[in-house]
Amino acid sequence: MSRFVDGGSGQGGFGGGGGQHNGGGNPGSGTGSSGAGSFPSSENGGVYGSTYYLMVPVQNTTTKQCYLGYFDVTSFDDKLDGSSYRYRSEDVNPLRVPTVRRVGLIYRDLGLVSITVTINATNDNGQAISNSTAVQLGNTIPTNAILTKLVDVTLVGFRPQLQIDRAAGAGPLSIVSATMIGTVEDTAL
Amino acid sequence: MEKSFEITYSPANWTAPPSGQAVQWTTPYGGLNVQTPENLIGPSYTPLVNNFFFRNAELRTRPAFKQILPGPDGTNIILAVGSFLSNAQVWHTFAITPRGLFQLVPNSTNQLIAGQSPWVFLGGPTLVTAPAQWWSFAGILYYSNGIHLSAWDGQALNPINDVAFLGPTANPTVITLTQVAVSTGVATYSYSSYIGTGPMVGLQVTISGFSTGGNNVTATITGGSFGSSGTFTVNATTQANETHAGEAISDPTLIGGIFIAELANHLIIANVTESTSSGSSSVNYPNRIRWSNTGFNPNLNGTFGANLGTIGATFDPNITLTAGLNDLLDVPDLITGLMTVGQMGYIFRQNGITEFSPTGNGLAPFDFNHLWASQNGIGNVYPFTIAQYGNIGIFVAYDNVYMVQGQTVAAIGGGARDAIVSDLANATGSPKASIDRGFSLGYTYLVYHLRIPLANSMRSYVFSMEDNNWTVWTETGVWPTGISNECWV
Repeated sequence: MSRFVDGGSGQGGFGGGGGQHNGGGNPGSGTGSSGAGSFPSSENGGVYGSTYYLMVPVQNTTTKQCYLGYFDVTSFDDKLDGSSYRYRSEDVNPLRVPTVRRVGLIYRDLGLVSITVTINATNDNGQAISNSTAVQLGNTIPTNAILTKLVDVTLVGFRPQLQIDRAAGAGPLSIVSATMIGTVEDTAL
Repeated sequence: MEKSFEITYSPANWTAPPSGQAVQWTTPYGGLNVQTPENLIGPSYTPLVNNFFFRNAELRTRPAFKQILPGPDGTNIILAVGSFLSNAQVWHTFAITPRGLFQLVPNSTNQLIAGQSPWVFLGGPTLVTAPAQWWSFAGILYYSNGIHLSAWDGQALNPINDVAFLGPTANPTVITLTQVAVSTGVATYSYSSYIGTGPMVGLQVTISGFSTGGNNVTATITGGSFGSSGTFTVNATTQANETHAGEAISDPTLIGGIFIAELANHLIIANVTESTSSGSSSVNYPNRIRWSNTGFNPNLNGTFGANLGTIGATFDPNITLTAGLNDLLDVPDLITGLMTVGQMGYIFRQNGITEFSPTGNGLAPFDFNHLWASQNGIGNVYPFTIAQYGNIGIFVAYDNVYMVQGQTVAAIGGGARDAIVSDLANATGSPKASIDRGFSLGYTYLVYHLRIPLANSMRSYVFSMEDNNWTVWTETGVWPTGISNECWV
């Protein structure tokens, strides 16, 4: 059976596989008959070749057990590792002090996700300061639509910098754009 | 007096115009940039990112990293994984551990559900713990990580331990001796079934009756011509009362290598180790490249391995001059990688690259040309960080990550370079890299993926070959043990 192509849908069945990657058969073409167990009699085993995964050989650092890992594209919610992203820090109006009042997030709804929206800055006393707001985005049943969320988070300081954090297992996040909204002094120095 | 501002971060609008509205699609995410102050980097860049990626212009958390298959060998590390297409057009998915070669069963999902291992042990030689390199050539899987070059065709019950060796056979030739005469200090033996071509290296004759010293005489019999049968004599020092014969052993040289490739129908191995079949000696030649005859084919009349050691499947230039070797002794470093593109081959060294190309002359099939052989230069520093996709190769040098295309070498580390070399300096083991087309069938994400083992995690630097940006992933609690690959199931 399959070789390059069997023309059928993927076997799926691996760790929640199937889903996005099980339709339409494989690239290449068409020698194959199909049907389980139809390898040539001269062959010593084999696999049906219905789909592939990127497999990563790893060893657990604690138990020392070895396994093949893969990246499950049906889930963007890693249960063991969180995610962080910082945008650049902004000289909104150099040497003036801006005030950030809100952050606008446009995101794709992949399901419920809890994130922390943080503004980092510095003050006149030479200190690093920050303020954070936890917020939940998305729907229990993901719509895959692009949604909007305005987050109230206020900070007064030089060079405000937006940061988004998601804890491990807090849900899948996909940001289309982010906007930092506020005011800045406009008086002569 | 205050005025309002809106600063938008979007691939359509990195720098907001006064209206705050997107006006045109500009550029993808710039990715990690730690080499410019964070208020001076462009708005598409980030000074800190972890476990996000930028595919299709969205800032998305990376896919969950999970176990898809248990290892075939418990805590024995997986040195390589992959799939190859046999001559019968059947995919075989395999894993290699220090114990040998394993194959994935066709009904692996059912096996897992039943609590059974989805792997079958096929055999092969015991390996060292370096990542194993493999190459599929004419429907046969070849693999090595130093001592042995092994092969499996998808049909045989077991792989062949050694397909690269000098002489007609890889196996020690054991021949039975018969003592036919003895006089003071000298014994004469007859033998048969000798199939070697050279001297009887490692001859061991067991003699009893010495009043002093041991009972084993080891000699290299070099005199005369050794046919498949004949006689020879052994000088046995002081005693005349040798009472019985022993055995003679021919000890062929086995060839393995850290890197494998194919060029102009020659199978090629580099950073070679040559050892005796008995294991009595093993010598690494880190500057040596060896190539097989043209059209290396272990099969004879349908029997896998039957052609080995002949003019049709040999690495021995004494059997055919289309096989051979070259020692790159005129360079100050050692071989750390191998890549072939079309009719050109590239031997990577720590501080340089050597190009080699077919000459069309079967007696001297390759011409070698150092692109540079300087004391310090651009080369592949970490042996398992070189990866190839079509005519593109990517590797890690001391000072940057480079992409090579033809004779053009370009630095691609960008603003992520300092973070990469810093983590490489803290690596707890050898970093591994691959160019991955996607995560699975139907999900494309063409990246160079550099995985660095740290104290309790795997730090990955991921370079998008479409968008020219770097992102960083961390997978906690694991180390990479081999190079990732697309594996069919």
